[in-house]
Amino acid sequence: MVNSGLLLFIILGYFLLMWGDIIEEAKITYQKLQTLLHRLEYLENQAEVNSDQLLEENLIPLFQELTSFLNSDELDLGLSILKSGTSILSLKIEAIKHYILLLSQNELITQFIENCQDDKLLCSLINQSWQTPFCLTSISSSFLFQSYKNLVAKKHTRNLNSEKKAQELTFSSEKTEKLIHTSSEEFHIELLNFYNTIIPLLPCQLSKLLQPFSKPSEYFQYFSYILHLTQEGLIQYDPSKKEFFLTEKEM
Amino acid sequence: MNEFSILTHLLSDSHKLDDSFDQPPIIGSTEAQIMKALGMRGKFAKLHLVELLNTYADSIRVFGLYIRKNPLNHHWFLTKSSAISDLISSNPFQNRPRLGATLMVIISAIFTSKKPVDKKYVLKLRKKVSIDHDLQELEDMHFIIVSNSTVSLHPYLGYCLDLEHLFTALENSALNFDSNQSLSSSSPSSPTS
Repeated sequence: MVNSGLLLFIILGYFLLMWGDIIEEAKITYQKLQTLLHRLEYLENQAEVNSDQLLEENLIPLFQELTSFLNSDELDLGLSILKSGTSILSLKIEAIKHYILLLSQNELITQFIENCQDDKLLCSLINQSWQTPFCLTSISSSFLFQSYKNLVAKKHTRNLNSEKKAQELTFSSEKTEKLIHTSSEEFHIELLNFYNTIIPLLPCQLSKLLQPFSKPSEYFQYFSYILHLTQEGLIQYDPSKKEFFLTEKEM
Repeated sequence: MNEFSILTHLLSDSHKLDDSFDQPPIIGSTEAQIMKALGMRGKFAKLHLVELLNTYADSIRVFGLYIRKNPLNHHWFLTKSSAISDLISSNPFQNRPRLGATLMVIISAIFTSKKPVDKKYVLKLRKKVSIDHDLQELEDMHFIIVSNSTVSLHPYLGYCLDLEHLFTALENSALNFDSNQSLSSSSPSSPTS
């Protein structure tokens, strides 16, 4: 026979998991915002040395991402992002101005090239901008392969840890004892009152037991009472009929 | 640190395509290649890549290394700062101003016309009897591609020249040249010392 209490604890577990998901979602949103901030900071740094790259950047998606993430809880971080964003925007406008200026100076550049016959001057421009690429042709492929394996293993471990945490939220018989904490005498009186109220209704479905409680706070309060009564063994759940019924145990 | 190991390999790797042994190597990697190698997927993959490149750039700066993007083939690669580079030995134009000037003229002409330029036009700009030898040498160095009568830039040039810096220097030189000419034309009788 299926333990009817198990089903109820699964329901409770579901709510706990839901809460865990909300926390996780908030965490992910915060991480995304931080990534966005880092990206803007990177663009800001890049813009100071390389305005050409800034021209290639489409900033609109960044602001769209920002508006999709932002809520009152993340206002501080959002303000930092907006500060960096507007700073980059002004730099981008400067870069566009510079680019337009450069385009308008096509004629000037052509004139310069046509008229300047000083090879040393022209060549000096090349020499000033010369750079040497850095290549590591002899890097050990076995070392890199090992690094790659370590990286994959590290990511795998991280995933395993997440799964382990998720598994900890599932309900084994030992842990169910701690899921619903014992409470004060006052609570027990309220629980007893509720128990006495539902005795005439049993056996019946959960919806009927909670029908009088329309407010969400009341609904969950009395739902938790039902869980306590099930844990105490005073009532049981029959999954086949989807009904709660009284047990022989007395309070 | 493993990400950095892989990134170092990807950005400093130089390899030749199987069917182009006479061509220069392709250095570095594209964004797509880096993201694939690091297993970056999803909507925020590019954001993560930028963040990683930023952190990596900060880390390698102390070694005199910088990350650059080749605008001609969109590969990210590493460059050495002038402080740790032997520019005299690495720069083929140090004692060859004529060859450097021809390349400068080709780059300027392509930049202003936004397309490959005609050889005759380069010859006209250079005001020389012939530039065939220059073009042949530049093509052998894999800086330009000469096809029939047109000249275009080889992607390998983007590794050796900081093109953005070059255009800024060119713009400044053009402005200075223009202002000097204006001065000389406005005061033709000014005494020369």
